Amino acid sequence: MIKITAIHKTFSPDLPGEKKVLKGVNLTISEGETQFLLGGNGAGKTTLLRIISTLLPMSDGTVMVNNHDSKSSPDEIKKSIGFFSASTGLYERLTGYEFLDFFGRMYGLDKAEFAAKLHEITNLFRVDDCLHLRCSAMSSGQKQKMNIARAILHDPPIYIMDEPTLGLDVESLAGILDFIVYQRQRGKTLLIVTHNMEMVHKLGGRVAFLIDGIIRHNLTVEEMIEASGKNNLIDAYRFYANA
Amino acid sequence: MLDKQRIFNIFKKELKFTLRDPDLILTIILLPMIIYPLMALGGSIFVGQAMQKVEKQQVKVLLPEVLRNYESRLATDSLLISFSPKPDQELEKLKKGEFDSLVVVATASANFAEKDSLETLGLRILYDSTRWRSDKASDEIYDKLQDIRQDLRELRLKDKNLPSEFFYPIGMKVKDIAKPEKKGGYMVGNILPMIIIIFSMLSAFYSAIDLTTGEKERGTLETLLLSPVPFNEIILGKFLTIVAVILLSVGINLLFMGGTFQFGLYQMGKIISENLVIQISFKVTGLIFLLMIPFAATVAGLMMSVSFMARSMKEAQNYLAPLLSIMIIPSVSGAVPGMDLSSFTACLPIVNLSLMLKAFFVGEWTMNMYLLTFAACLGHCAIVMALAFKLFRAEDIFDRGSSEFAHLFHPVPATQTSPTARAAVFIFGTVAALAFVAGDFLQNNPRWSLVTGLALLQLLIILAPPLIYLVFYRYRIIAALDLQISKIHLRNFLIIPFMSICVLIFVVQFTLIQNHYFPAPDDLNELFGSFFEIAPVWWVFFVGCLMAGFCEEVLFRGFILKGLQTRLGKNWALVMTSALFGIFHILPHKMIATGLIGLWLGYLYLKTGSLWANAYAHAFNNAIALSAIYAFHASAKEVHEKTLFLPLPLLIGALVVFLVLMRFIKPASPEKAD
Repeated sequence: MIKITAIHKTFSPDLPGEKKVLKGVNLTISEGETQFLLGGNGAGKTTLLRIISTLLPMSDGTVMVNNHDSKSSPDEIKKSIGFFSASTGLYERLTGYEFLDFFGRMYGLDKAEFAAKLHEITNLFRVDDCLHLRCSAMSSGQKQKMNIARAILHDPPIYIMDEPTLGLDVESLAGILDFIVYQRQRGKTLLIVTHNMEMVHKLGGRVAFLIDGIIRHNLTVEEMIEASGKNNLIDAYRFYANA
Repeated sequence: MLDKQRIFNIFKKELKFTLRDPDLILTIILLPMIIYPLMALGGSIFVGQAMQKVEKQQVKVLLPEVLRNYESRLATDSLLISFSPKPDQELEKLKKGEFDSLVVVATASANFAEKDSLETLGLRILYDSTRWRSDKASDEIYDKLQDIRQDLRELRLKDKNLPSEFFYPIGMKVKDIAKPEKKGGYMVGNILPMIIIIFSMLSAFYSAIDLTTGEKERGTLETLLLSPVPFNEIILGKFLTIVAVILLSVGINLLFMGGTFQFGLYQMGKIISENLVIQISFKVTGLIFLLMIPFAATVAGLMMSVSFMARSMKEAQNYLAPLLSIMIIPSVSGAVPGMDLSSFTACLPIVNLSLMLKAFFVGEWTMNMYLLTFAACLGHCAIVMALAFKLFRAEDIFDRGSSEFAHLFHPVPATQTSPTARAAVFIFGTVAALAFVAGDFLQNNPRWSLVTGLALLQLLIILAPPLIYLVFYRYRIIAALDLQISKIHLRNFLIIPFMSICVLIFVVQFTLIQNHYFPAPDDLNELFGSFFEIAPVWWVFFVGCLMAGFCEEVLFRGFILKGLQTRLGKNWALVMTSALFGIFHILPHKMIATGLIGLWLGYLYLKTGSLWANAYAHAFNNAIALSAIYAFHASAKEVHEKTLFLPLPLLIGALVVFLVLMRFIKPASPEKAD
């Protein structure tokens, strides 16, 4: 469960160029729910995800993830979430195995746990080839798989994804969709920022609109189409984004 | 066929694109503007001091009795001579450094002293080329003897109608008594410390950038920070990596250096010259490596802190390149004549390392000095690490969406009341560069007096840049500089003179101790005294107190301290500003005392929040100093030489009064009045 209350975020406060990005965001995501977060470029979606993941401090407000407060127990929150995005990079000079091994240690997995998890990951993503390949030599799809593998190593109850399909080919895109469906079946909570309306339509779930620093609307895909009177999700998005 | 128009269009677009890159502007305009004056300033202070020391250093020469008649011509203030019937038997004293040079008779001349003698007295000047004092002694005595030779030749050939080449009354040969190992050590000792230090800093340069902004650019820092590991542990892991890279670089340097000298150059040396042998023992190699550990930690902490402040690798390079250039200057200490390892130099960062490494190579090192150098390096490391942990904030890594640096090039909202930390650094650099480039022109211009030159310097170089910046970026100047009349409190104006006097008592005490160990050059006192000879008294006081008080306070407290505070917090900003205030006063003997006054003025500003209080305190301080120079100029030096400590009751009294008055200073009001 993720509960966000009255989050404010101002970059460079009291300095020239002060920038208020979030102006009181409230959002609650129940356990096992899939929540999409939509908004224009620069709306503050990535900032919000980083605040939830404790990478960024907020100027005001509270974030509870899996009943942990982000201010008092950031490490517990990090253990509860698997975060990946187009911008989370791989260590190019490490092999796939070395990369996963390192993060396994960071998450405190012992040898046996890591070996079991690696077995599961290779079965799930068919990344056997990548394990002995340096990350710099991997294709975009392979890199994305390694990124996801890193995020699921500690089997967190919550996944946060920032534009997970950005720049992927059709095959890799299908792999991501399979992954999301699989995790949903396992009862995981998902928070996904995306511009891929086809994915939103296909997967379904709740959709929140982050506009001018606050959540303007939060409704299901079906409600979105129905209430807007549009026959497709892109037009429905436009309707809500400009409402 | 090439299309000129198309090429020109591409050129135009590329040039526009390139010149709009703030990093490039930093590299091609701001860096040269700041770095060369700073390097020249550092170099001139550094080398100038050393050269002054060489010039003033007294050297001892032992001469044969036969030259006693020329004693008055040979002795000078810096050349102390004594005579012995057999100086060649005192060779041990030359080796031990009791004498810096020996002049021995190689070919005796029984009639040398006779007026008409045409016999030649053969002399041999013995010296140790690995000691700069000995070098200086042999040069000076050689020159003196040459003068005597010339005079004798003219005198004795006067009526003989012979060409001057016919007769040499004194024949001179110079002989170096340094052993081949020592000479070899001396030769490499001039260069190798610099190479080792530069290599270690270069290795830190690349790894620091790669592990900080490099990771940021590649997105792996985000990945790493997502793992449930405290930020300090990540920082320490990275820090240790950089230290390891530096030590690896040092280790490889020492290994190949040792190998080359033992097996390569040594063999070559045998063929080329038996006079040059280079040997480095395992013990020395080990000690050097140990000494490099705290140094590596200092460099790693410093470079990592700086590169974490950058948003991109390019920006990090722009920050680190000048830092590296400045750090290279003291690494040449070993090669500067007059620089010796002493308890003072052993505490100076990088200088101590350079001199200690040289001492190792020459074979003239002591364990006490080694331990002192080691302890000093550990101290530097502790300071840098404290600063680094102060600067590292996990949130900053992703909280730099809007470039602070960009504020230097883009207008800011008119409501702002504080410059940014970067603007503070930028303006200080600009003022330092301008002072260096135009300071001499303004101060030593025949069209006006030195005092008028100082007035122009205050207005054009110290006051104008921060004001131009504030006006250009549409700040509210009164609010930005805390010059509101409403912030003037009569109570503070009554208290400040007493507190200033207390501070000055401590500054005088510090100066007395400093002068005891490192006497101020005579010309310093004369310079200040000369103000009153070249300009009316009121004009000296007006420029020295009111103008300097106001202009310097605008720059240092109103702009720099306030700007740095936004980034560093009050305490570090206060320390940094005071250090910059000290450095800005260029004269090495005034730096620390001025820095102490800077601490007092900075404290006052943070407490009162009013620049008027500061201008008043600064003017009061300068007025006391100028009055003292005006009244006691002639006797000041004597007082300095005789006294080391002020009376203890005076010091305790000053401290008590200061602490009590601190409580009565009216602090800044919480709401900001515009």
